[in-house]
Amino acid sequence: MKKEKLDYDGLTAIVVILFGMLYLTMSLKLPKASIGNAMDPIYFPLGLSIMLLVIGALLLIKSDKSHIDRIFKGMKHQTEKEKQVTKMVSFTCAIAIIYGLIFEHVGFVLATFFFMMSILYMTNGKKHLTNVLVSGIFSLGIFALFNYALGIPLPGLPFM
Amino acid sequence: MIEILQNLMGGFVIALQPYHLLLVAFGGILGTIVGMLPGLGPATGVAVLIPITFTMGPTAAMITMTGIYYGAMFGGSRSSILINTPGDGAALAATFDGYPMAMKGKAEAALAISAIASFIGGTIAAVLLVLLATPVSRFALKFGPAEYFLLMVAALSMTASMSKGNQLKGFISLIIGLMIATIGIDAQSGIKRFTFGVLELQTGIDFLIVIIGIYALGEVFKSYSSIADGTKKAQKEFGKIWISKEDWKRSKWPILRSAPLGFIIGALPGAGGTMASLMSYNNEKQLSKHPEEFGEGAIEGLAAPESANNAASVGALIPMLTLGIPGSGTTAVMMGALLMLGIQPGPLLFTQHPDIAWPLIASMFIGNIILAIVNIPLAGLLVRVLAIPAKVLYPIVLGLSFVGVYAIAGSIVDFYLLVIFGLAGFLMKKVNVPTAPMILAVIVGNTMEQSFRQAIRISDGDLGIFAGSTLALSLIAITVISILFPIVKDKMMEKKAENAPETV
Repeated sequence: MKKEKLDYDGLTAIVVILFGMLYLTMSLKLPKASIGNAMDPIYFPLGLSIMLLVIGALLLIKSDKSHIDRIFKGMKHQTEKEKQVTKMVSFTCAIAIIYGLIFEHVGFVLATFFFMMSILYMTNGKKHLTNVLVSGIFSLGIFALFNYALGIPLPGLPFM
Repeated sequence: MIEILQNLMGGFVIALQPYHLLLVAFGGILGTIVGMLPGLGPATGVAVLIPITFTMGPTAAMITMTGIYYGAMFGGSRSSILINTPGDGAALAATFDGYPMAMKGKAEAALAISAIASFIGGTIAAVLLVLLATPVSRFALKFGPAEYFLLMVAALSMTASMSKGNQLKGFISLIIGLMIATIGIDAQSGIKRFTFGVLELQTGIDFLIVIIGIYALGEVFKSYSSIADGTKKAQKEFGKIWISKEDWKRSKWPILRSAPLGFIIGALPGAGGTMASLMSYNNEKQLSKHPEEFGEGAIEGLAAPESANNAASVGALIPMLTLGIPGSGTTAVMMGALLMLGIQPGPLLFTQHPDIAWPLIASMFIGNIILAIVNIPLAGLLVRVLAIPAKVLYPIVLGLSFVGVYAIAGSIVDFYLLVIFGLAGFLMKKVNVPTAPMILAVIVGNTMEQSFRQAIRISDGDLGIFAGSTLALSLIAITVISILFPIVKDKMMEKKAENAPETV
């Protein structure tokens, strides 16, 4: 009974119900159409939110609620690997957001070089030569491929 | 019949142009490489590589994507055989006997038979596709908006229902997908829905972003856990990659039997390659004279699922091409790419764009041949990719996803959406909510709502139109059955389990 497999059904159901309620409120607040039937654009979202709520409720009834509590308790003592993955995912998201913020200012090549270097530093560690090579070839190669071969313009270097 | 052959010949003329041949080969090799990466299958392969097809014409783009799709299917089993890590679900069955074969020093035969079986399975299925495509699309032309709406309901609910063991969660995924599709300006009334004042959301969330987020980012996030495991040592030196006469004798019938089975399962929405390969594996085990060899390196245990799996991938194209309803994750991705190029798959595709439909079908035959060539003599070379550590390859997949998303609309907002959907995909997998129904729903969501509203307008608000024809009624029946079937089956299994004597 030490390492019983937890299922996330109960937790999922609660999140889904909350989301369904939010969507329902937003659907009700949608502006009425000025042409045709005023409620026309609302029916479909309304129907969806009701269905989602019903299914969420069914899932909640079916689920073993004791698991919810145990999941929260279990969070404190995650395995090393789980912690590692959480860290890596959060780091990737943070880098991606910075990537987005600098992209249009410093151009594709520099921004992408930064992005690749950061992610490689995380996955590949301090093998700087490999990291620089992969990042450099990737950002320049993709830039050349898109701009010249595919004809999809990417923002170039800031001073060009 | 003659007409079909003529069309197909016309398709071959286009598909055999050197440029197109090059694209199939190029797509096939890239697809094989992505497919070999643990955890990344055909859907990811096509999703990540879509941007390279943006500026091609629709025909060339479809041909390239077919190459990628096939390549990833071939590639998935390479890693199953050599490192016991399936590239995707459909390649899972290939680990059962493929890996034991490699362990026993028969990696060459395993690689060869998997490519041969894939080739034969894919080719048989492509013949079936040629025969069925025109009649199915002609039939689909009879559909009015009400029937079309019900058809989508039926297809989506089948997909959600077949989500293994968690039907309810399949439906949750489905409805959330439909909700995502409602974001943006409503085409019929001009009302802004759920845009939160963000300008970029007015045109809706591009389904390609959802697809790349879930299939590329989400899958890489999930695979982060395998980085810690390090690279698995794969055999790098091979003898001649071929099979003996004895091997062929044992595998020939399993391959031939599994192809039509795989094709049919693949054509059903939601079933797909994983189910096809597992079913054919179990079938062969039951039919075999020496079932005890299965799991220990029986060659037919590798040949059958490989054939079924590739046949299923072709079968899955039937609903997408002829009805405009994708039945699997990968075909949803391909449909997304087609829509992006301004081509609406569906019954009209074959009458309005025979210049795309038929070369695509012809290129499947060609793609099969090219991939068999790539995967047999060159297998030794290609599997070297497995030696490149995942820690270098995953960042590249991430980089490609961002470039791809930027290439769609040139907007940075899409970067953030990509991160959101990547996280969503990662979390959904963690809590066991299937992602395929959501992807399908995002793609057909708009059409579905529009058909619903058109039908209502035709009938002047009378919902009776949805039960107004035999066709409509049968579609409703299919939907109901697809929802009830898994429930009834579960109940019966429970009963069986209760009645069965307890064994330890």
